[in-house]
Amino acid sequence: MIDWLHPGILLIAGALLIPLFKGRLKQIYLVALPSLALIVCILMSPGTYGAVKFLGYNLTFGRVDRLSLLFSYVFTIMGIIGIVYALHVKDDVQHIASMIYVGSALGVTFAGDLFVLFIFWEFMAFSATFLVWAKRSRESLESGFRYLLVHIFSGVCLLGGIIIHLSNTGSIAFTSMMPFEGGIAFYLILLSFIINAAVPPFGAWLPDAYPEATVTGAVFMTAFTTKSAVYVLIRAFPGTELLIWLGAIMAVYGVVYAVLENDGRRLLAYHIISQVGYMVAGVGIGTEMALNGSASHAFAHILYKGLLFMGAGAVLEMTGKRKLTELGGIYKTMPVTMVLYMIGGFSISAVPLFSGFVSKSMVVSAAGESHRIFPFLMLTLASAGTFLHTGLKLPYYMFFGKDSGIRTKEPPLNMLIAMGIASLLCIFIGIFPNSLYTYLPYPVNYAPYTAQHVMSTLGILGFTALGFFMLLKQLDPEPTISMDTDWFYRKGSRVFMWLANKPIATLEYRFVGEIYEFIIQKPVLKIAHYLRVFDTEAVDGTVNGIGKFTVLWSKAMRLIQSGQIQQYAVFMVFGVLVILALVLLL
Amino acid sequence: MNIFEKILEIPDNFKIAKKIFYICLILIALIEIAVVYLFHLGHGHFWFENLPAFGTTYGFISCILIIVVSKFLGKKWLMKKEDYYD
Repeated sequence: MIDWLHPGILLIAGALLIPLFKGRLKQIYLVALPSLALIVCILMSPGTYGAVKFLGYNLTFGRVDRLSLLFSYVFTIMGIIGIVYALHVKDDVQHIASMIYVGSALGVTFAGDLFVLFIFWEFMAFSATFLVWAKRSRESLESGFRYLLVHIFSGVCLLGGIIIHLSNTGSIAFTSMMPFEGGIAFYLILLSFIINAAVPPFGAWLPDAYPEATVTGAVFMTAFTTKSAVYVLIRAFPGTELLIWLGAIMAVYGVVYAVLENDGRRLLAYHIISQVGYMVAGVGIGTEMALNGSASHAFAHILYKGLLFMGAGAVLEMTGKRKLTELGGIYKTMPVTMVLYMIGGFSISAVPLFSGFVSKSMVVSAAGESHRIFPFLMLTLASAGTFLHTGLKLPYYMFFGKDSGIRTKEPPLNMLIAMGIASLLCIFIGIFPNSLYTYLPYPVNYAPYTAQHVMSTLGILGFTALGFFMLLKQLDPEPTISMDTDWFYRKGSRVFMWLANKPIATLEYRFVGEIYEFIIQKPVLKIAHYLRVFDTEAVDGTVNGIGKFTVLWSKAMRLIQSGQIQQYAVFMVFGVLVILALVLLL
Repeated sequence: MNIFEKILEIPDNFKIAKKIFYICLILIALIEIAVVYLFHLGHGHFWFENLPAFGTTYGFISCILIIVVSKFLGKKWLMKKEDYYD
């Protein structure tokens, strides 16, 4: 009996049927799938569903409450936008992987216990890896493997934490971990979550993998892994002091790297880290307002970051160029893409009337209300940095700037439609913040549009723009890549291979081999030599000596063995006489 | 020629756009001061938020700091040739 339909399992099962459809029908099916999941989510009412007994444990596939519903709405909406953006793609692998990816993110969202969480956690990692590999280049293959290894490590930490937690408490329920603060299970599960949230120094997988994914795959990837990590952090670790600082550092960290970055989508990837920093800091502050801020910022962020990646992806799709040093002047032929991208840029920069303004400021204000001065200043500084890069630097060098001479055209209609939907939602949330606030987990007592807030935000943004134009020459992108903590495993693996090829192999051939020759081979040969000498001189000599003696003796005997009885008799008598003489004389 | 080209590519229009940009900046700074000191609508969490034109000043300083410090770190340490990992 099915009294509850799991939207995530619906998507995962539905994804497997994608190859059965052809042409227009396939496009309809692709859009219908996440739309159906969204309807299922909207019709759901809070409660506990999908409880299954398995090996004596109570698994819960459907914990439905305000928090999980909020994330399920935005995940399915982003699933629809992402698939519309990808409708022109003729690669079933990507469609299947993206739908399984969205479905497993929903699985994480509704997971009521740690086992179910773990299963969907792993599903997400594997399906996302295929979105990287689907680009089918050497770089994406390598990057995909690195992505997979990092997320397998995260999964192993999670599983280890779950098992220790289970043996300590006897429970696999996925609830707040705060009563268990300080234990090994607490830190293992926290580590797993912050790896997926791309918290430095564990965040280098994100700017490594996302720019290597396909144009459409990257749009999906921006939405689900980090934000589902934010969701589980809100569930399990609200009020963990450490997260405030990690979040504030993250926000600034992403901004610093964005200054140096030349690859458009990698710059945007660093700004995911920066933006997720606000959410992580909100979880750390842990007040109702802060958690509302984290949840609403995740909601807004998924839409505008998807929009930004769609914009940069459209430029990549049409020009084949991803480096800012090779782009410029594209606005002449792609003005619609440029405008839609700028809506995303204004949203992430928290320009008033765009979505980021009503969500990000909740976290910053929560930091202010709890009188945390340095997180407040760091998050505000990162706001300036966000506008500097996503709203100014990237569009300047991609769409305006020095004309690269590239003349192209607007991307396919489905891409523009997807970007249009995301843009409308960004503006709608910005103008009508209560449309988002009513779905937040806690009652909202916050007004974003106060005179001081609007004016100080405009001041920050306006004078960031002034600084940008003053230091424009400093910001010219350079054809370089930036070293991040992936250095440790990228160069680390190289060091490992070098160790294997050079010192270890040399040690093996030159030293171990020499020692072997010296202490084993040479003595063995020497002993063999002695044995051979002994063999030839002694053993063979004895045998030969016996032979020679026999021959000589035979020659001597031959003289007396004449065969004449008389002679024998003479000898015998002579012998007897000799014996007698001896007896008598002695 | 789309509307953005008309603004950016025709020098006279570009000059006007620049002028509008600077006027907006001055207006923002003035209104930000007026909100706190003329209309008494300041309600910041920290004392420094109610300083004259805090957002304006902090935004400008942040922008310069981010560019200078990041570029310094990049040049001295983080930026590598594109074939660094090959």
